[in-house]
Amino acid sequence: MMRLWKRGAAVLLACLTAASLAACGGNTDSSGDSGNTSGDSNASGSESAGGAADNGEIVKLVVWGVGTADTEDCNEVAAAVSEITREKIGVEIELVRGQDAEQINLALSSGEPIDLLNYNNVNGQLATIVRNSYATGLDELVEQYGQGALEVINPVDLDACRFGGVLYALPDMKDTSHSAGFSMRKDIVDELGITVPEMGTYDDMYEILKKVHEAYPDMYPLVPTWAGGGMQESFPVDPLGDNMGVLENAFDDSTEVVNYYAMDSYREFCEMMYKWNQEGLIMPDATTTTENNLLSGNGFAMFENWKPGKEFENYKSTGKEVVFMKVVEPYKFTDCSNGNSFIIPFSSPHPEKAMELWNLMYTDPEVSNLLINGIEGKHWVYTDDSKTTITTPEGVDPNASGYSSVDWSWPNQQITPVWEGTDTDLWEQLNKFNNEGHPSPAHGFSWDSSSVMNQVTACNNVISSYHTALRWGTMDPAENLPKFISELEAAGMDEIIAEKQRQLDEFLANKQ
Amino acid sequence: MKKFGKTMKRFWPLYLMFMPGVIFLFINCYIPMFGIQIAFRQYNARDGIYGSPWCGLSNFEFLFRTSDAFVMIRNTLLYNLVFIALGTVLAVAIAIILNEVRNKRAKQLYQTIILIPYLISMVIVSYLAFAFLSSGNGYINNSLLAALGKEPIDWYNTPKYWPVILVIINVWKNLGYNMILYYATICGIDHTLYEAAVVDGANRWQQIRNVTLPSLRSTIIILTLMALGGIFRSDFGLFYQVPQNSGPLISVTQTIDTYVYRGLMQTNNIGMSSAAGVYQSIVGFVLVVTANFIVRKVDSESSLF
Repeated sequence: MMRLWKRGAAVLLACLTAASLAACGGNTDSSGDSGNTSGDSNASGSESAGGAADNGEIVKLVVWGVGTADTEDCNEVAAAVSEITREKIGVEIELVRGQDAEQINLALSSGEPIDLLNYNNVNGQLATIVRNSYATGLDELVEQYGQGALEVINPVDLDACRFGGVLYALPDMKDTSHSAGFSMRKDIVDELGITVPEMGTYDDMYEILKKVHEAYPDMYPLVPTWAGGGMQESFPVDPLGDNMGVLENAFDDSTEVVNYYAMDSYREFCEMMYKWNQEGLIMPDATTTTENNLLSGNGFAMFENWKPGKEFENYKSTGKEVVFMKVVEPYKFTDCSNGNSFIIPFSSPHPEKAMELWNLMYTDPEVSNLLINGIEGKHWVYTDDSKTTITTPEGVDPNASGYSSVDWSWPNQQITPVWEGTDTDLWEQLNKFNNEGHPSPAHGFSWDSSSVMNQVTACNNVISSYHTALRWGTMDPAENLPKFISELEAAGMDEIIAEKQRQLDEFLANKQ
Repeated sequence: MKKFGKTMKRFWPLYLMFMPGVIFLFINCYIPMFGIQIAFRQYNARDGIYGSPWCGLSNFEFLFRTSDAFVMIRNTLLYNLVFIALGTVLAVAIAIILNEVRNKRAKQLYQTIILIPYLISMVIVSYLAFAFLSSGNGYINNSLLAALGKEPIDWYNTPKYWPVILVIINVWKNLGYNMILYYATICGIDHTLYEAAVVDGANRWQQIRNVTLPSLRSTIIILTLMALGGIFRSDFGLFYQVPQNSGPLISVTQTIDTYVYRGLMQTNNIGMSSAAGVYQSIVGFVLVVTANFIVRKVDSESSLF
């Protein structure tokens, strides 16, 4: 008897081992909605009863945005937006912000009912979303309900949201050109009397860093942009979706796909960083640091992308004034135009209504302003009667108002007032920046990696062994770069590039 | 069948007590097993699990494509073998030493101190390790090595130290839990055995060797067999968070779990991640069954089944 018991228990145990795998794969429960979506349904329930009486049917849409915000503040904003949308298009909204990549993936793969979702936090952005067929095709919806949005959107950017000819997203009215360089602390720059050119080179940067290092030996002259060796890279490349096969220079006409990590400019960059690191110009723990806001600590400069108003945006988030030196002129590529926007997930129960709401976000200044900046008097106030500039209300911490203003992450920031501290013509500057950007020859091309998925996975692993250490100069490129490249080739980089070249050539042929 | 009814009648309270466990296992471990099929499908959310097309074994291919396959399997296996061996030896040793402590207060205090690391999250452990090892402010480089007049070591870029560091951290963290299991067994050993040993003139060392260790044998075997089932898995926190995902260390910190994470972070391919899970589970299952088979040949009383 005892023996049987023991056997039974042991077989179960062994099976338990075998079964625990399924927990990572097949679960279709919706733990993503715990806490986030349940709270506010009661609050607006009574209101909707009133609206429904004279309007037939009021639909409730769920919107997921990015950036930190307290649930109560989100509910308040959602209620205020619902006031408007109930009248105009017969919908109420429920607003959720600040979900990370894992929560979004779980929600999408489990088919949670979300009507508009910002995919900024998703790794691989729109391409990944489309490959996993999470997004609803928009062509007919836009045609029918999105005319207002089409009027304001730049058609060049719109084309970047197409995959295989199907439209999956609408571009936000944000920066759709890309320009990169360095941001530096203004107080130090002023103190040492350094003149920072608007457009510079790495050599200029070297001189600046050296000066700072001499004057403040305890300071870290160059720090990562975010924790763990983050860097806004500053090559003029078109990454073509994943930074593996790229166009080396988006400013010339060559459409030859090359290995990013085998480019001459990559090697030169790594050699330069190695030299800078040897000279003590780079923070020693650059690749492993766990801090995100290094400029507000002991850092002087970091790699940073630039757009009009970026100085103020950084000030808003870190509380430090910065000056920029750009090393790359503005240019446009697909990932920049379709980066960070919204989709209507396949699981949306009301795609038509979602499109109407989306359209309204592009065209209604009040809706846009509420979603971006929050409630007047609570999260922001007008600075004067002209109602063109806003600031934080007195007594509210600009970095912790309960509803962070992440203007670029919403469909149309350009119909909202600007924040005090930026130029009043910020939106004109932004449009100029977007229009001036030199389009890459492959602009509009979207890469479908599904046929070389195994190679991509293997390459991702090789890249994580070398890339961060090489670009921060903690690894000697003379010794390790050739190893890196040969391992990439063994992992199938050439197959990825060949497939990408094939797709790109096809795209270019169709374009003409 | 008649016999079954008879045992049922006789032991039904025991079976009743057994039920909650069975139901728990069924819901948590058997029902989700239908998800194994995802590993053989090209999963996409829109078509769901049943609708996604089958794709044979192609999801498994990425695990064996490159020389990484060898590195990660080697790391996973060797680290786990060391963890199992060293963890068992130390846990048994400390359980025995703890049993020799006569002062009750002191005993409880030691027990708690040894158990605390087990309760700390690996993410916090990674920050503790960073506080020791970072080159900017780390304790070892700036206080210890500097005081000894030695050159600072760039820990996060030097792979050769990491096998040792990871073993130390893992043993330090998990020792307490295993130790308690062994200690509980020791507490359950019949005291008359020790008394008889003393009468026979055995000293402390002989008591441990001839009474304590043999009594611990079946516990050791069972725990080791169960640990073998997880030999293809690794503590993700230990191998990813603690080395701060540092690239140069990957040759010694890559395990199957971190490989899957690094490879699929960008692509969110559910089919391929399930494939990795299935692979690990099957190997674990086979290992448990084989190890048990061997144990049964050698000593049928101690085997699991």
